[in-house]
Amino acid sequence: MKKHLFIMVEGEDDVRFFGRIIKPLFVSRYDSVEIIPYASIKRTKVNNFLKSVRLMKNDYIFVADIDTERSVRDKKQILYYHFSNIEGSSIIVVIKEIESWYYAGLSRESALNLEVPDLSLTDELTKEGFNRLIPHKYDSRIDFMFEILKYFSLDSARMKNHSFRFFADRYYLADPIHGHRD
Amino acid sequence: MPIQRIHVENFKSFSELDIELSRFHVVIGSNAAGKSNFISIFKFLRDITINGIVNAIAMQGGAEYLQNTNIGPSRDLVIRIVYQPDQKVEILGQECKDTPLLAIQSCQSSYEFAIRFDSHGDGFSITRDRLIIGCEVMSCDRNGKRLSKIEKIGHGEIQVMSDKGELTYAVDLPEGFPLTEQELIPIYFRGKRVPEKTLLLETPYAYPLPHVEKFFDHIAVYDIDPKLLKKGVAVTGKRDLEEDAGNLVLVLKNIIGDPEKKRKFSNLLRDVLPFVDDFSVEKFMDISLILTLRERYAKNHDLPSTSLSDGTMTIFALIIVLYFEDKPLIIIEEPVSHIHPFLVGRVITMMKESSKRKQIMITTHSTEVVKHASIEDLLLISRDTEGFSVVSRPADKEEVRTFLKNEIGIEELYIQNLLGL
Repeated sequence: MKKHLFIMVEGEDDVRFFGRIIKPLFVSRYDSVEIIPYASIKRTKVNNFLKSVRLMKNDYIFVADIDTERSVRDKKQILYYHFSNIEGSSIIVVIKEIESWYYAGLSRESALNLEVPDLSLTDELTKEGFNRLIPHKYDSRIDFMFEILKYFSLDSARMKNHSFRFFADRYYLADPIHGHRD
Repeated sequence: MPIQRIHVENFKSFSELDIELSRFHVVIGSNAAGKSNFISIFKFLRDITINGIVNAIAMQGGAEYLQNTNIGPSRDLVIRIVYQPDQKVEILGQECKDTPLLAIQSCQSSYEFAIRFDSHGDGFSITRDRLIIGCEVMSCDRNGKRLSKIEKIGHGEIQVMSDKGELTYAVDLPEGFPLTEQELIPIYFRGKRVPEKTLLLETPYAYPLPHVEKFFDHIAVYDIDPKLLKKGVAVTGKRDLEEDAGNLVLVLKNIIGDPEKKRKFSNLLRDVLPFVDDFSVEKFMDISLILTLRERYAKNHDLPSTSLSDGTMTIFALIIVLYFEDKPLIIIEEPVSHIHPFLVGRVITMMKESSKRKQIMITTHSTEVVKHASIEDLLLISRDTEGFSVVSRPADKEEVRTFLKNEIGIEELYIQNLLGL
């Protein structure tokens, strides 16, 4: 049987990020990599989807924003409560929101090119904070996000966001980083 | 927000309609519920501004099809719109050299007219015709192109009325505003008569101040025909997208000619269609233009628009409508009918984003659109027991809220026809 990877993400901003940055890193490992936005699907259906994926012995990654939860552990508890078929080892919690992963991928030089501030850490960057950083010349947030992805550096993202680094290391998406973060 | 409230009486399938509008609406309803009639209100206003009331009535099929069949000429046809024009600050002038500049900024305004049709034929008389221009009056200084020290003097109103063609103005400006009504309304606007069977909206008298630009003529109602988009178009033509998007290639040529616009268009296009590598507009026989597209899968081979899918062509047109057309209100009829359900969420995300800059209304039967829209975005059109169309907001209904709380999706309520409970 063919082996598929299903990446479950919240919304369209996540689809864009995972489609352009993450999917290409997985394609050689699977027969197919599918990205499924689940925010507009009812929980019972998402749960049944996870059950089906497990029965077919396929792999999945369930990506969720930490939202207002205090810790990854708390977020996982919420997800266990909503989805009985979910496994903790397949959950990736984004801190704080996917926008922080986008921005983390900008190196200092890329930030300069895009005429945006260079942030050394994006762990605390929220959607609202990200929106405030969009330069006036972009009248579309989607356009700006797409522009970031053109410059996206995996190494920079791992340096600037703890949760992205955990994700990248967990799935061996790049060589491990040794030593201190700058 | 451009149009904030709309009130109509005796218009097509509506006996009476009064509804507040938001920046983004998804108009749903079963067949023959009155969706197209609802959209016709906006088309009618636009047509009056551009072509005049006599032509606008004819464009709707004449008095017979414009009034409600059951009501007929027994009641006036009434339309009232509360709207927000572009909030530009305009300098009016200076009382004397040492005083600050006087400025005015348009704010919530309203326009209302009533028409009484003859008992037979398309004859009619105008029984009410009134524009109320709301404005904030302020004083300020100017440093180069920038205004500074802006201080609000107060809120004012300028009423323009046409009573049987006689034009009158009523100015109510805040205390401390130094100009008189005579100074504010130019002399060539006074003592004029509006021609018979003419509404204020179609005359320059409705726009007595430079800041109140025409508004209704910029309303656009798109009904994109993907088959039409695949054909080559003549090199000459309008730079604004036609409402059937038939001149898409010509508009695209201008976008391609501007590197910044092309960059933005490419990003938005690839967000929905990731397989698109590049696109261009080619001249054919020196008289027509044709769109070609290069896919990621075949880098050395450009596909002409005749080989592209209806959905691909629709997405090209939608991106132009949403991000490159400068209109206060756009209405798109059935925008996703050729688009794969998986992409609908992305298109709706774009519509929501674009609605921060312009008011957007779409009509649809698509459950995918309903699924991706918020309950607050939905306007449901249905028929009451007498057959009149009514517009309701499912978000206001307790029963609908209860279903949603219990994880019955909006789309399921829509399919089961329960949003109108």
